[in-house]
Formats: sequence, structure tokens, C-alpha cells
Amino acid sequence: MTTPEIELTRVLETYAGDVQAHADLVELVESRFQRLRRRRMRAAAVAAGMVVLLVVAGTAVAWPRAASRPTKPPVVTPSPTLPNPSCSPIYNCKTGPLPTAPAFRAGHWAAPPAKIPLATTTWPTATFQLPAHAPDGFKLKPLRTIDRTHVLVSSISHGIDVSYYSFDLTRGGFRKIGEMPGGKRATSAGSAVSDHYLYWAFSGYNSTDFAKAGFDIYVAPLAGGATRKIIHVAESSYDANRWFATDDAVYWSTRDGAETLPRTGGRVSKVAGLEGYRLVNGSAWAMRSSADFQITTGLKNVVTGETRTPVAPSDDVMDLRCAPTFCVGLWGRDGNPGIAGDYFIQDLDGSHRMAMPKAFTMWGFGIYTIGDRGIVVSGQDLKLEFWDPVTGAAGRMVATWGPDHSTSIAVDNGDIAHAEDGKAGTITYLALGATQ
Amino acid sequence: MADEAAFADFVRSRATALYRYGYLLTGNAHDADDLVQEALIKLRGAWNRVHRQDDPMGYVRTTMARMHISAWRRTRREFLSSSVPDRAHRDSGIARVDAGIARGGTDQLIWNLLGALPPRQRAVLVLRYYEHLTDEEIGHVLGVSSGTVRSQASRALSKLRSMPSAAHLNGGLR
Repeated sequence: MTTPEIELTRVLETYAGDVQAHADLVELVESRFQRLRRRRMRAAAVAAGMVVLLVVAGTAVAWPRAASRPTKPPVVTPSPTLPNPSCSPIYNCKTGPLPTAPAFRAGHWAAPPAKIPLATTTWPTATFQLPAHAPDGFKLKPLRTIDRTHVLVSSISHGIDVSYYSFDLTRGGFRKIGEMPGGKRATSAGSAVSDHYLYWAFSGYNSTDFAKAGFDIYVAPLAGGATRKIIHVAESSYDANRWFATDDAVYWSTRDGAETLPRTGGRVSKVAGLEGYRLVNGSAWAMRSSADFQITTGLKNVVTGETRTPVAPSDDVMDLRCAPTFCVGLWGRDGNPGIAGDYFIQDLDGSHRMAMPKAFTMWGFGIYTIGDRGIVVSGQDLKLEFWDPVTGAAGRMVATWGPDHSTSIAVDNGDIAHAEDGKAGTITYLALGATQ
Repeated sequence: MADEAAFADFVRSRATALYRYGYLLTGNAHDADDLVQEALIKLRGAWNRVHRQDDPMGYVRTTMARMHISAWRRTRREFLSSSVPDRAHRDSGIARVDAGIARGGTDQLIWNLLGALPPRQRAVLVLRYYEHLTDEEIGHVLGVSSGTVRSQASRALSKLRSMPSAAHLNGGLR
């Protein structure tokens, strides 16, 4: 190759080198694939129904003509046993229609307001805007909630965390907590916040063979103080994509469960009994799901070892997602969901099961685990609505189109949502951890 | 179940490489993200066939290149969320590249010039100079002859040379 061709190669490799994959890519792909497959099955069922209708209609039209013709003696052939035509993926002839839950009513669950107020009204101390740049001059990115009045942010350069700051939601000031070692080729593996400490991990490894990378774990006190490297972990930093911490130890996900390390140092150890569970960012509660990720089958606290086993309806449940404080499910059969209104909410033990409020099921929605609780998030176009069914607290965020037709609204990192005002060029953040 | 586990293993081990390839093809993080996910969903549906009879990485590489070139990839997308993801997901490092990257000098110049190329010509350069495929292999990926690959590469490099801001590259890229 000529020198410029080498230059072109170098530029491509340089720009590619800054890119990392989604931590949840496998789950995202599997979830989207299963949804796509269900849609295709429903479409096939509808198409099959249309064929039946056409055949019936065609028979009805042809029948009078056939009746007027001279008839031959009928040839009698044994007819195959056909299923009852009223059977369908939604209506099972053997078990009848899908179950339904009682209509939602306030009581055990706190109803959302009829009109969801703006998040800035409901949670004024949890909504904030960030300056464009950190005190070190780099761009800012919010990471997660520290407490009800502080949020962890990082300054980033070339896509890599440079420094960590605590941002005061009420006063708007920054306080530096720590910084990422290594040059610009470093990649961070994750971070976690406890009551008094920030832990973070970084990998200096920069290769497409990411699975072989190791990472270093650092800790710094939130109140200020020296950064300390605790240990180097010679394992895949790709798998260490979910983090949780207490003042005493830090936890991270592995291929099959989680590992932990005391803040004071020592040996990395596997968290006992966590095989098959997935750690949740910022929560002590790890989740276990069915093979298709549709049914939450268990929650386990990585610190206390407490286990909670969700109780699903005995029949026809095709989806049950649980947070530590409630589950939301969907009735369906043979991979097909029921009609709208079949979503239900229940306690983990199966009690207090009732239909979800229609406002939160009309459009796409999901549930997020925020620390020791859960929150329901409904999304429609440029609006996100948040509801805690235990406390009843609810708020909405709205994004607006900008002159260049760009805007964004989403939940990031599990507990921070953002909505962009495209006209004003500002982004409002909501720290979900501070919405209690 | 074994197939699903094998698919998950494949995605985990190749994800970063695919994102990097996608980023070079599309030039921006969000389209790269879409491209990777869409290609992997196709692979998931064909996994049983592909991983026994073919090279899954080659399948995804081909799918991504062809999807990128297809017309719908070239339409401007708008970033909005009409539905909430099933579960929280971390913002990937890829999303930070667009915002955080601010290279100067020749690197940024060449990167910007690449962004101005038609999708197929850009794909040819990425496959040749990043994936280091031969022209025959590139032709297989894009579904064209190796002669077409050579002509596309020649046009792409010629365009890079002819752009006013690339005067200092004249005579170099060929």
C-alpha cells in the first residue's frame, strides 16, 4: 500500500477503536427477535383466517350454481377430523377465553393521577439540566443517581470517561470524585455508587477480541479523598457490564452470575447461589428469567442473599416482568398476547392482581428497577410517563422538535431519563433514583 | 437451547468488532447501532442454518454491508422513542463517539471525506482497508463482481483526491 493508503487504514482503525458495543446487545437482539417472531405468527394467523373467509365466501357464491347443475351420485369419502373453527391462538377450545384481571382500583396500588403532571412539577429536585462542559473542559454525561440531591456525571473525551463528578441537583455545582487512569485508548467497564464511595473499572485493553480484556477496579470516597486502585481482574470486561456497590464491597456481572470484591481489598469471589441471575445496574437485586427472557422467575439480593420468587398465574401467562416491589404481566397463549387490557399488575407473591391502568398500557411501556423499588415507564412519541404504583408518584417528560427535525427522549443507564427541547437546544434530565 | 447459547456466545465475542465495522460503514453511532441490531436479528432467525453451513461473521458482515447500501438506510432517521425498551440498557460507548470525538488535522479531514462518499464506495473502502478483504471477497460481500469492486474503489479514491480539501492527498491515494 502507498503511504496515503496506510494513512486511510490508520484513520479507519483509529475511529473504529473508540467504539464499544451495547452491554445488553444479546438481550436486546433476543427480545426484538422474539417480538418480531410473535408479530409474524399473528400475521400468519390473520392470513390463515382470511384464506378461510375467502374459501367460505367462494363456496357460498358457487353453491347456488352447483345446486342447479345435474348431480352425480356423491362420492362419499371419510372427512378428516377438523378442529373447531372457533379455536384460535387467542381462544383455546380446551380452556376457553384468556383470563382477565379485575379492573384497576386504587387501594393496595396507588393510582396515577388522571392527568400526569410534568416531572419538573412532581420531582423538582430530581430534574436538572447540565452545563455543556465539565470543570475540566470536557463534555458531560450523567451516569446515575448518587442520592436524592446528587447525580454522578462523567466528563468524556473521545468517548472515554475522563473524570467523575458529583453534580448537586439543588445548587448546580460540581465536586470532583475521581478520574480515569490511562491514555485515550482506555475503555471504562462500569461504575457503581454506594452511600459513601464511588467504584469504577477501566480496561486499557483495546482490541476487537474484547472478551480477553481485563480491568482494574478503583475506589474513591464521595466526600473527597484519594483514589485507590483495589485490584486488577484478569477477566472479560465485556461481561462486567452491570455494577452494584455497598460501602463494603463492589459487585459486577459475569457470564453466569456475579463476582464481588471487598472495598478494602482481598480476593475476588463468586457470589454464591447467583448462577443464572443477571445483576441490575445500581440495584442489589439480581434477576433470573425464563430462557426467552419473558418471565421473571426469581430475584435475589446479592448482599443479604434474600430470594423472592414471583408467582405467575397458573395458566396462560406469556410475560411477567418483575421489579423488587411488583410485577407486570400479560396474558396470552401459544406465543400470542391477548387483546389490549390483558396486562396486569400484581405483588410478587401473586396477590393483589388487577388490570393495569389503561393509560400505561395503551402505548409501549416497560418497568425499571431503581434500587429497591420499581417504576413503570410508558412511552408515546415524544412523551415519557413515569409511575410508581406503590407510592402513586407520577410525572411526564416531553421532548420537542428542533428546526433540524432532531430531538431525543429516552431512559439512559437504567435510572436517568432525558428529554431534548430541540428548539431551545437544552436537555432536561430526570434522576429516577431521586423520584421517591 | 444449545443454539441460543451459541448465538449468545457469538454475539458477545463479536459485538465490539461488529459495532466498529458498523460505525465505519455508517459514520455515526445511532445508525451503526441500528445496523448491528438489525443484522443480528436476521442472523438469529437464520442461526441454525448459518452456523452449521457458513461463517456467521461473514453472514453478518454481508448483511450489514447490503443493508447499509439499500435505500432505506440512506433516508434520514429521527431519534425518538415511541416505545420504552423492555429493560434498562446502558448507553454504549458508541453513542459517545459522535459527541465526544473531535479530532483535528488529517484524521478528521479523511474521516469527513469518507462521509461524503456514496454508501457503496464507502463500503468498498471499509472492507478493503479496515476488514482487509480481497477484491473477490468484497465482491462476494456486496454481491457484485470483483471488477465492479475495483472500479468502485478507484472512483472512491479518485473522489477523495478530487475534493478541494484533500489537495495534499493528490497523487497518493490510488
